[in-house]
Amino acid sequence: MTTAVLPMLVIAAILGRAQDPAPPKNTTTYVVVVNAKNAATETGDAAKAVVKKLFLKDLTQWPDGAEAKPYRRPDKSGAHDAFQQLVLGMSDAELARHWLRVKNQDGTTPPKEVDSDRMVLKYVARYPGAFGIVPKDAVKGVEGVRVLIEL
Amino acid sequence: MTSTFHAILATSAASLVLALPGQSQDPEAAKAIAELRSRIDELEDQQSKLLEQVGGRAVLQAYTASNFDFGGHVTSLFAHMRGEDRSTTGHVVSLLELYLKARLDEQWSVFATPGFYLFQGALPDDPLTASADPAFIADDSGQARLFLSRLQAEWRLGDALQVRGGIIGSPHGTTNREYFIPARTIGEGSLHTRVFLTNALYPQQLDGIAVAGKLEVDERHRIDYDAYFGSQDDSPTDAIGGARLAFVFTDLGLSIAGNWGTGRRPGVAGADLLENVPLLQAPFSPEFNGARDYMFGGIDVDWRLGAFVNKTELYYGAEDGYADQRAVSTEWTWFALPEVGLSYRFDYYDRGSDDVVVALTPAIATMELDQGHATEHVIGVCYDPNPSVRLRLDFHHLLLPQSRNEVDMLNLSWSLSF
Repeated sequence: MTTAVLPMLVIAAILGRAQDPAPPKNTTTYVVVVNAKNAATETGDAAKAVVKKLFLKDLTQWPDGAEAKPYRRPDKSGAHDAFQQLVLGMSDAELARHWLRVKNQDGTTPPKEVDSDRMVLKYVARYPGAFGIVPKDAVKGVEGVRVLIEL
Repeated sequence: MTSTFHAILATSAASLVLALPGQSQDPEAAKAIAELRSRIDELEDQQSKLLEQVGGRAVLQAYTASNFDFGGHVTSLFAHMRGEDRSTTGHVVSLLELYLKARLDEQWSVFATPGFYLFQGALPDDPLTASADPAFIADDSGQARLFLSRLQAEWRLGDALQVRGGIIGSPHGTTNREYFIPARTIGEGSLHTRVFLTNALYPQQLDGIAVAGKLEVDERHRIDYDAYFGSQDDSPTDAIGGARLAFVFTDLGLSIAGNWGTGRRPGVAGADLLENVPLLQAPFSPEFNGARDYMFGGIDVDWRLGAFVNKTELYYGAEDGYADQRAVSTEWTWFALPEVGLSYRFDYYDRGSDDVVVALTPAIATMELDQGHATEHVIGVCYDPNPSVRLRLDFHHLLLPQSRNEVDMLNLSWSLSF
């Protein structure tokens, strides 16, 4: 009995580790912000699908043709964890393997990392195709940006 | 420099606020001061991070590029090979490839990958031994060879249309499309793509021009196309052309593609015939001895869903005047742990027929012979201790063509990508 259960437990533990993206670490609400002039009209899952393709650089243009300029947040930050789980639906390892693959295919690099919420908002307000992830509270009163997705 | 200026400015402003009598007691002022302190902390953090990345030396300036990325990888592969009568262990290949990508504006970019490599061949079936057992060929590490696998200028209208020219990769085959080794879970490529830069069944690299793009059908489906025209290094006057058309299920991570291509194989003559032997654990020689026109078709499937990756391809090559070629490769990988992948691959490669040397005196003479087929089973484990480091241990069981000798190979390889 023990010999049969033990391998199953090991496999279950491995499967659990391999499949589950890390859950967000806090209860802060995060949003994906885009430039105020961004013409994207998608909402909900459709907006998430577009943002996912642009963040992963499978595509490089918004539906209206504007060049996408994604910014990523530091690994293990609340913003990155929430985005990774709720928009990308990928684990840390899957994301790392994705960037390893695209880099070794044609030199494509991951989005630039920005530490500060304020800097994300500044970049997004400055570039028409830019988008980034910030806490919802950080967007209040900031001009030149709008919320596309609330996570 | 801008960050430093901002930090000084913010520090001065904060000092001024703190110095004002009575202000520190005002709740509004205290809040403003706290916010300023927070911003100063952020700026200082960014400044220190920037200094860490740039160091105290000169910052690179690209002459006219708006963006310049520099990277690359170092890969080494060692093997233990066991034949019918003999075993041998040695170094197979080490290479350094640098990735240079410069973007001039939203439309124009350049991608080049100068590389340096040294290989000791690793013949699975050394014809110089009585039992045709594995052996390594010697090479001089002081004369590592230069290798340009990509040297391309690109103009892009958008995702729907890009035009590339120079030394470019062909779109055929799943492993070939990824091309650079660091992303592989099994170090050696499949049997029909194992010796790079050659025209084994389909071209893997060419000197020419390609038109490619991605067309969204709806939010979950996409069509990718890639068509090329050019020639290969070994014959600049023989035109080749081909195309790949893929239907992509984006939410499933699945792409299914049809491939087609045509061209001419230039052949090998004279003393070069004696040097055209199987290398790099490949069961067949890198080039065809007999010149001929060819046309091929194939299907490839690339499926990546979570911790699971499948790469499968089937190709058929019609060879004018010679027997046709067939190739099948299917590779399954499961990342059992985030950093540990387990792989299995099966390869079948029927090389068709070719001219082989049957006499050396009074002159080199050849005749057409069936090349036979080889099969290989590979079980591999890869470990990523760091997202940019991949260590691999692969066990290969190779059944050689014609002789039907069996060769077992244990490959240890690593790639450090930066």
